[in-house]
Amino acid sequence: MNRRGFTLVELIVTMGVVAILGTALAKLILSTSTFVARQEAELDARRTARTAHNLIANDLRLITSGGVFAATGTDIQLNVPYAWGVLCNEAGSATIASLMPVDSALFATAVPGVIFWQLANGSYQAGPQWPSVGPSGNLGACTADSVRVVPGGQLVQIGATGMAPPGTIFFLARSIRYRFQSSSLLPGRTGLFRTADGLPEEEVIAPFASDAGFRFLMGTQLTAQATPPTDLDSLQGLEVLLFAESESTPRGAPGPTRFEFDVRVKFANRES
Amino acid sequence: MPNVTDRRGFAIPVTVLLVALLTVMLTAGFTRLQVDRQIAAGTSATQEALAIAQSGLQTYLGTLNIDACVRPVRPVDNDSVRINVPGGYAWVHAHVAQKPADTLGTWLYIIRSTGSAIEASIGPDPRARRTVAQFARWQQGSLKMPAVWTAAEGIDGKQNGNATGEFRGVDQAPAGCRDPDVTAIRTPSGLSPADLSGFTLSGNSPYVLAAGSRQQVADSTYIDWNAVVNGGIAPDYTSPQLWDWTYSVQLITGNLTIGDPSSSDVGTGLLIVTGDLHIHSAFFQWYGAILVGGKIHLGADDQRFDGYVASGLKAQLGLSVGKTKLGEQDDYTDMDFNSLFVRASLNGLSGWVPVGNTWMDDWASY
Repeated sequence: MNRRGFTLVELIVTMGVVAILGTALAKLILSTSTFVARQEAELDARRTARTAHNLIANDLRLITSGGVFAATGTDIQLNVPYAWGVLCNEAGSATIASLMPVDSALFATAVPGVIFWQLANGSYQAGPQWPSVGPSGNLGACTADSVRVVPGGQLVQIGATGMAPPGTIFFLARSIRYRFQSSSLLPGRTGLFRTADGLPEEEVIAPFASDAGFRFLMGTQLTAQATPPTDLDSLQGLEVLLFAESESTPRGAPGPTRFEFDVRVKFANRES
Repeated sequence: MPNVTDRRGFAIPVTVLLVALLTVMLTAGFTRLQVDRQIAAGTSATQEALAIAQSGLQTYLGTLNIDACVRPVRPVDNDSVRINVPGGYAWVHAHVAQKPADTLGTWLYIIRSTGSAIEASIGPDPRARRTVAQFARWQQGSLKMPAVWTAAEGIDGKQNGNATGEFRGVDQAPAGCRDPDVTAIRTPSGLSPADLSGFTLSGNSPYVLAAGSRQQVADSTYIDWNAVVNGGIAPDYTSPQLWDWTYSVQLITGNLTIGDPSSSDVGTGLLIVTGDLHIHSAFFQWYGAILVGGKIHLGADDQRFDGYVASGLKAQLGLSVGKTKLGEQDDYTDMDFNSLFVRASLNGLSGWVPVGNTWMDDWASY
């Protein structure tokens, strides 16, 4: 036992050094933790906005005249084209049509909410709602007017007559509604809800800030206005204010992280 | 002295623990950030593929192939073209959706373009693909030409004894590219030039066909003058383009005066004048087609037309139009039927016409 113990001074100095180092390390850990938490919160908010964008932008892009049939600052109801083709002759109570190739998965699940056909001025006129669409083998109804079924396309019969002459281009559209309202997934917050194909409304994603919503693009300059025009057919596009929030409040922040994703979508098929 | 090497401290384990903890936290954070960046990059590649697809589609729609005789070549069914653009390439396919029974009717095509975004440093595999599609009609400009000069307003015969010239209804296009010959001059009944001495005429017999009313002669051209004057034609220019060799479409509203007594003026293409055309040049030559609503003042010392001329077309709308005077002075007037130049002048009206509001994104590939 020839070891000597620490002196009091050694102990005090050591404890002081350890205290300083410990405090610095604790601050470093806390700082890193806060940084990571804020990054995660921002990623969270950004992911929410992007998910909503991917869904909405695809739907909005193809809108034709008559495509927006009801709108407020937080609620839009759309007819979204998902298949198109050329009308042929009528056969009994149906109209035969040559359908261009479609996204097979979407076509299998989509329910046509309305059929549009093109007028001479390039705009579209809406036909009967919820038309039945099924396969047809009546090729003669198309060849009589030299309408062809292109590779990958298909012949269909639409359960409506008296629409437009053979050779007319038409769209099949799904009825889709988007609205921002109180979230059921995250009570007290705002969520994005979607209704499609006549199915029950579902909450797509949350949370969003309470000022998330829609603005309305008018004229050739696509000037945004907060209220929808009386004539919704004059709409040239929509501005979607995807003001997403993080689900939780990161440590040290006064509230959830906000990510402002402001998307302007011009309707590609809305020129007349 | 104590043997310090025998002491068992805790600094290293604690340090290792702390470093490990910090590493795990930072790694987790940066991994999530990286995933987010990759998603953003993927979205960017998809957007790039969309731009490439759209660029390929526009390029294809703007392309007009012509044969050796300057005839526009209608794309075959299932036409397929690869178009290279910066950042990738687009495969464009055209399929006939409707071929009308009327042989002069326009064919309806569905044209799809699949864009592939390529990053050279990564390799030949596309980073993203996107398909867009568009309905378009194939349109071919054509003119029915009853004579090398169809003058619905009528022509007053030679005003000056020394005036000379030539009206050739025989197609002057190169061999193998010729259309059937036409009459030299077509006028309404009783409005043909009485004196054509000093002028050489050739083509279908009779060289001068005078029959029907002004309106009937104007109608015989099958030009829809009402559509022409009311926006039915999208011109390249709204003023005459002299010394321009692009065979453009030039639509001039009202009367047009070309040149002065000392100028030499040459033009090409389809010149449409809704009013009267006054030619005052010392030398004037036009390669292509000239369509005039009113009369033509042939005031040049030497005026040559290689292609086709139709005048007095507003008679089609029931409007009055005065007669054109031939050989007003000691001048030379030469009109030669040339189907090659006419075709070249009409190519501005040929090609793809996209059907408005029929664009589709993310179209199924097949």
